[in-house]
Amino acid sequence: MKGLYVAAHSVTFCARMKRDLGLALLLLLSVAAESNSMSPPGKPVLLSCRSPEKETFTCWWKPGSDGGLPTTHRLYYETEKLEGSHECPDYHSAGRNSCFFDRKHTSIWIDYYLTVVASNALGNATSDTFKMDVMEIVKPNAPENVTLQVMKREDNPYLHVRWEQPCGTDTKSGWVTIKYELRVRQENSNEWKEYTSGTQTQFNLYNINPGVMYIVQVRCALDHGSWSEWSNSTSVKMLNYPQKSFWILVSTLSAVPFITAMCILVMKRKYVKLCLLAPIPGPKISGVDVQLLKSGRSEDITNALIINQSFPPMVAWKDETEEYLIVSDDGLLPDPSNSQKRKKSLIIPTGFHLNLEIQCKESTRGQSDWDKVEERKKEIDNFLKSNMSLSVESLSNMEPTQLPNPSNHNGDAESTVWPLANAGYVDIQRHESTQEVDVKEVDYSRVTEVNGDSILILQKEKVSGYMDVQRQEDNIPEDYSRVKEVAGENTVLLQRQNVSADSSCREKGNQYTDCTNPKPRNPHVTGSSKVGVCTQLTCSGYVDTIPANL
Amino acid sequence: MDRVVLLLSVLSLGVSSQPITDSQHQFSTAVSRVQTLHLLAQSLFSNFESKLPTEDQRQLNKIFLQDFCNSDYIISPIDKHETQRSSVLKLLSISCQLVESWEFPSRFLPGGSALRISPRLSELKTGIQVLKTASQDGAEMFSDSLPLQLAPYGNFYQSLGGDELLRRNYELLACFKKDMHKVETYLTVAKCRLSPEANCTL
Repeated sequence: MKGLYVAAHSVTFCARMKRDLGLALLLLLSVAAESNSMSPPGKPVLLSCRSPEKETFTCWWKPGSDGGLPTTHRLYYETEKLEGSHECPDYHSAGRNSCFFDRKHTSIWIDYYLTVVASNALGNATSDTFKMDVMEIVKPNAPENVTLQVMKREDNPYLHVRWEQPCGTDTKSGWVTIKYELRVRQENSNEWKEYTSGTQTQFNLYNINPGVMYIVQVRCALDHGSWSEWSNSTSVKMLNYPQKSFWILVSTLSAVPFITAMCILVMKRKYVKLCLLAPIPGPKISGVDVQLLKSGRSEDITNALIINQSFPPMVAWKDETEEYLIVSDDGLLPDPSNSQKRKKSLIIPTGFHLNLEIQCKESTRGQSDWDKVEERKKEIDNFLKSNMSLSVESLSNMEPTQLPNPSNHNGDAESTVWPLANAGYVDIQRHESTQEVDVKEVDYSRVTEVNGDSILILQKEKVSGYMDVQRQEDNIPEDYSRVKEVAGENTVLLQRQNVSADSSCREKGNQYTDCTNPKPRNPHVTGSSKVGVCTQLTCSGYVDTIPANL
Repeated sequence: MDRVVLLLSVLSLGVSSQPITDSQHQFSTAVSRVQTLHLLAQSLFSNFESKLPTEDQRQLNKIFLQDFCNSDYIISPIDKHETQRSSVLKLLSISCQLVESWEFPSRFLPGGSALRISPRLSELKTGIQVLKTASQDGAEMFSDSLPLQLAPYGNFYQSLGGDELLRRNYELLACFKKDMHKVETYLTVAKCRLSPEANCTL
């Protein structure tokens, strides 16, 4: 009995034991299973998709927990155009947890609905649906091969930036339009300066400073979509321009002595002026004191100017009518046949002959007169001969020719032609006439004829007083020949003048005139007729004096 | 005689080259116009999105799954290969249709009236039509496949309230942006195909 009781009790006890053991075992197993994280995968998450050139695109997801078990992920997509779900064509080209859609599988302007399914031994997990349009996920790669170049230009250097479009973008067929942007900063600054380049793959940066390092980056965008990442930094440094500063230094240094020289010149300008522009000495007349002239005393002036003041008193002229002597230039002697005429010719020119015609009325003259004339003439001839002997050598070979009229005493002229010496000096002595006249003999010579350049015909006459009283011809005016002009060395040009009796030629200014008495008209006045002397110093500068001291 | 022939040939060359340069110029004008429109569409859309609270953006994104654009009936190439396979005339025709389909609805774009979207679209359409006639010389007449269908979408533009309005605006802006991008791509491809230059987008 007891045995049965014990057996029944043990059977119950064993069953209980098994049950507990099973439970304990189960517990243990479950604990073990939990510690190994074996579970269905967690839900993956689609991150993003991107198309670099509007022809392909890639999508990435992030897997969830894998549940401790090897988990696989699959991407499924649906489009408006395609029926049903399709799986990703390429899981590997773009890396892990990605799906790459090539050209065949890419359509633009249609919506894609993507899902990722993670699955493992224990279960699946599906991500949320991701809707996308390729148009909106276009983001190109950064531009490539960015190069910088410093372009040196006169006073205006600039940076030339060049780059290439990212690989794969098809701008040639016009599938995409690309635009660029670049930014620049200086080495020690954090500020970027941005510029838009448009569709050009190059850009010029002006306004850069030498000696500074510049850093440049470029990025691009397709069809006004998203911008790419900035390219790698490219930097360049511009060299300083030593020439500029060098030249500035040189110019400043050279300016200093230049300025000094200018200052010296300015300070010593008087001296410089004297050196460079020497004054030219003014004209100076010996014997004339400029200061004296300036002071303006007329007497002194005239004294200074007139060197020779010894003018003999002059007889006033009378009846100043000018008459020129007729000078005929013929080598012949006057016709002696003309008994009416009396010719006296004296000298002079080199080769010229002058004939003096004196017309006298024979009736008026007495015999004695003719004798006197003859005598005088002979005297003249003698004198001339004596004088000419001195200068025979210089004379041209002209011999005095005697007129073949020795027998003509009455009215025939004897003319002697003497060539004059170059000196042209004729000095006629005073004729000592026996004839007594009250009038003092005047020592003068009358030039009766003028011919040519160097002719001087002198006729000595002895007259009472100064008058040619013997003459009764009105044709031959009385009196003196005034020297009109001294021409040349040998020549004195005379003019016959009759000085008016009333001429009291007191002139002003620089003419020194002194007329004492009017000249009496009456040729026969003898005796104490006072004769005025006129000395006229005319502008032509000749002195015509006939002294008449009574 | 030779001179006359030479002169005539030069003249004819000059005359014949004239339309090419003219069309190039017109293409450039059209492309720049559509680019402007695309930029405007982008700015409008981003403006609209930025004003939404973030929560609504996600919601709208989901809702938009169901909807479609009013220009979906226009069949157009959707990848590069297809685009390059299409003739210039086809591309021009499709572009014209797309632009035309937006002439009326663009008035309802929020902020579109301020930016003069509708007049710009009209100008662009005119330009494309000129280009079409220019390239139609000697080519077949490419008839438009589908007439403009406004009727089915008549209700679409009725004034809606609240969320509906928000949703509708979002859709409009998204579709407009997409279509402008399409036209820009087609015109650029057509222009570059006719252009003798190597890099016609530069």
